[in-house]
Amino acid sequence: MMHADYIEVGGTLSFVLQEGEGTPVLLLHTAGQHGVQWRHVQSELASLGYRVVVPDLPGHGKSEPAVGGPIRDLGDYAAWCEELIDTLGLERPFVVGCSIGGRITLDLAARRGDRLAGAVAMAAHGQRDSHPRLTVRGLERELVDSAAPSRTDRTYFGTKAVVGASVPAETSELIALMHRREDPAISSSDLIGWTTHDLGDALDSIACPVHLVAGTDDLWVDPEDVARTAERIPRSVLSVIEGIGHYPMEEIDGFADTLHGWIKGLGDR
Amino acid sequence: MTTTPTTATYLEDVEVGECATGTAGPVGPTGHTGPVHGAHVAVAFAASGLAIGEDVESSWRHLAPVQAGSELTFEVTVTGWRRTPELGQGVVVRHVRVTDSDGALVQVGRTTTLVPARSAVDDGAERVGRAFGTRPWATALAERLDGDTVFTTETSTWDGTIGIAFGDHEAQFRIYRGKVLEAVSRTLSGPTFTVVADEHDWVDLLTGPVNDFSRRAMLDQFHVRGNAYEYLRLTAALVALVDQAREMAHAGRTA
Repeated sequence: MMHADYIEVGGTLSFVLQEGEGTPVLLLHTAGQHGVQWRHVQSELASLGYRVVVPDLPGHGKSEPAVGGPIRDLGDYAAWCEELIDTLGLERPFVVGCSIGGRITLDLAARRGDRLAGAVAMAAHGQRDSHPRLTVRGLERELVDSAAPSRTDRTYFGTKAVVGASVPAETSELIALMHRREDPAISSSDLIGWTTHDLGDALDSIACPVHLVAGTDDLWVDPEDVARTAERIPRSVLSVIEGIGHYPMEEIDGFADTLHGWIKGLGDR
Repeated sequence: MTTTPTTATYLEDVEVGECATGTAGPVGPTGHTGPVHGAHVAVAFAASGLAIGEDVESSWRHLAPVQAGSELTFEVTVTGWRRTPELGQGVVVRHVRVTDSDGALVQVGRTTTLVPARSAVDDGAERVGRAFGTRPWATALAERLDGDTVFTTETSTWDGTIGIAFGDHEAQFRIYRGKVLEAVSRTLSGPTFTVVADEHDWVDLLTGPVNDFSRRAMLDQFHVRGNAYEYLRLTAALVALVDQAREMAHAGRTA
């Protein structure tokens, strides 16, 4: 049975959705989005024996804004997730995230991998982009509303552009329509966080098993960067998925089963 | 973009957007080792079976050394087509990608070829859908844009000129409150902004399977000259313009 709570985390009244019983799995969304990205995954995953926990990060979705304004340091989100895990009493959870959620997942793995069962980081890696498409200067400009024309159109078409070629057109359309509901101030701050985040040598000592996932059609994340991160993490596995873009959990039909397989695989490592 | 070979003898059998692939034997003089001269690549291209007439002009950009003995693959896309004034022959422009035995892109080129016509008729109007960047093409597209609800809505509060640059050719659309006032090669005050790309990237976009303008822009195949703010402002209008240009290109040889 799905239930939702408003919980005080990091000084922010935060929206957290939970479903199922069993091994806890924390699911993290992408930049500017919120937990609704997991709506087609959470129930089926719960039925496979998991306690599924889907928060809206501070400032996103139904959660109130972060104390001090939009967050620009993905490490702050990781600290917020640590507090959420402790508040909910999640014992050795798996953490799964995509894009900035994937980076936060890796940050959590670096912070407390010894207390995680494993991590799945999709469309993410642990260093700066080797071929960055984003700059802090450009994102700062996007934060000025008068300098950022047609933002919703650009989010809509930009989202479609990074969905994989194997995804049906109606699914791609739905993803883009949902994504353009974003708050640009939050999205751009999140992306500043992406642009500046770097786990550096912390990757070498991640204590939990990690599954890294890259899509061949993802324009934002170079699979080579993901492979470099995978090489550094002691117990890691890399999947590069043909025809999938930046949002595997929204693009892959029956993703709960796919994720279930990845999580089981982590248990074997 | 189709993948049927362009081995036609006559102008009428060639269409913008057609793509063909050919290979040649080992490049360079027998027994030679190391990089070969560009002239040897030209010889290999001539031997690839992709010739369609007499090349009157060609230019090549060398991206990586071509090693002797490498078996080159030539991928040719037709990017331009027009009859000469006397109608008995035509000029075909093609973009050429050259990859070596390892699949690495080593050279790109542009060839201009005189191709004989089967008959001396003026069929320009029938081919206007793929006469990208020409004034007739711009005029036909402008008519479509005036009937496109998305385009007229997205430009309903706009006063400016959109430039579309196909390589060296440019079409400009003067727009006021959702109406295309004029479609010409040069407006009086010039474009507010111009969307720029190589001919072959435009051809791929306008004749390919989907409208992936946004993706190609993110890949830097397309860029903007002029007022970038107004370019961003017209994001949806430009996607609609590309939609109409693609429909025109796919509507056979009619506008």
